[in-house]
Amino acid sequence: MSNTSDAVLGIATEYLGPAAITLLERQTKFHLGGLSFTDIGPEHCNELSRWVGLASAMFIEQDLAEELAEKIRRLSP
Amino acid sequence: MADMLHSIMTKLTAGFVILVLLITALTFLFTVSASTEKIQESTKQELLALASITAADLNGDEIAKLKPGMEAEILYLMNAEQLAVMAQADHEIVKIFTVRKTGDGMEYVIDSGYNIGKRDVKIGNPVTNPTKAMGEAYTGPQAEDDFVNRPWGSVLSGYAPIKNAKGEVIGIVGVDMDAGVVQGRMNFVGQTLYIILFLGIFCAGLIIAIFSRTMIRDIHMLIESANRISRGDTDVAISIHRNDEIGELASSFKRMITSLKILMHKDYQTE
Repeated sequence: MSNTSDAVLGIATEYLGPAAITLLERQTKFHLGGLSFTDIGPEHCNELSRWVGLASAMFIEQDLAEELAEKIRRLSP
Repeated sequence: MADMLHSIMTKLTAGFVILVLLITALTFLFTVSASTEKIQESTKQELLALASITAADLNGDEIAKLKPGMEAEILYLMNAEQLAVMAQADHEIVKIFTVRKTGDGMEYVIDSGYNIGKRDVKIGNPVTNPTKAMGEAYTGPQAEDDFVNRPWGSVLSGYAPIKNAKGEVIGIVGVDMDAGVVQGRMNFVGQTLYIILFLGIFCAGLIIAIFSRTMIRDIHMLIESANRISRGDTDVAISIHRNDEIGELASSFKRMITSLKILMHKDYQTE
C-alpha cells in the first residue's frame, strides 16, 4: 500500500469506520480509471476527494462528507 | 421502580449526596463542637470582665458593714442601685449580686434587683449551692464552667473579689447571664450550620441531577439507536455533541453505523 493510500485510509476511517476501505476501493476503481486503491499517489487525491465526498454523503452528514473530501484533497500536490 | 433504583442517574445522585453528606456531617460535628466551646469561652470572658469592672467600682468597706435587716438603709440602697445600673446596661445580664463567706458557707449581701422590684434575696440569705468557682473568686476573677441554679433561675456566672480600702477581700460580686441566652448563642451556630448543610446538599443534588439527566438522555439515545440497528434499521441519526467519554462513545457508534451502512449498501455488496 502506498503512502498516499495509507494517509487517505487513515483520514477516511475516522469518518466512515472500518468499511472506509470498501468505499475507497470502489471510488478508485470506478472513477480513477480502474486504478487499485493501494496504488494511488498524491496526484490522484484531488479527483478522488471529489468522488469520496459524493459517495460518503450517502452515509454521513453532508458537512462531514465535505470535510472528509477537503482533507483528502489537501494531500494532492 | 427497580429500573429507577438501578439507573445511573440514581446511583450518581445518591453517591454524590452521600459524599456531600459525609463531608458536611464531619465538618458540622467539628465546627459545632469547636464553635460552641469558643462561644462559651467568650461568654465566660465577658462575664469575668463585667464582674471585675463591677467589683472595682464597689466600696468594700461599705458592703462589709451591711447586716441582715439593713435592706431599707441608704448604704444598701446606694450599692444595690449601683449594681442595678450595671445589670441594666447589658440586657443579657439577669442579675448582679454580692456574697460573702460565713463560718460554714456563704450568704447573699446585695441583690441588683432590689430597686426594680425584682428582689430575690435579702442580706444574710444563705447561698444554697456555693460552687468551687465562688470560693476561688476570693483569690481572683473566676467563671463557672457550667450552668448553676440560683433563686432567679439557671445561669452562667462570673465572679470577682470585692476589696476594702486595705486591699482585703471582703466578698465577691457575681454576674449572672441567663442560661437561655447562653444556650441561644451556642444554638445559633448549630442552626446556621444546619441551614448551610441543607442548602449545600440541596444544591449538590440539583446540580448532579441536571448533569446526570443530560448524560442519561444521551445514553438512552445510544441504546435506542443500538436497538434499531439490531433490528436491521440502519437509518438512525445520532445527534450527540459532547466532549466527554459519552461524546467519544457516540462518535465510535456513528462510525460503526456508517460502516454498516456502507457494507449493507447494494453498490458495495456486489464488489
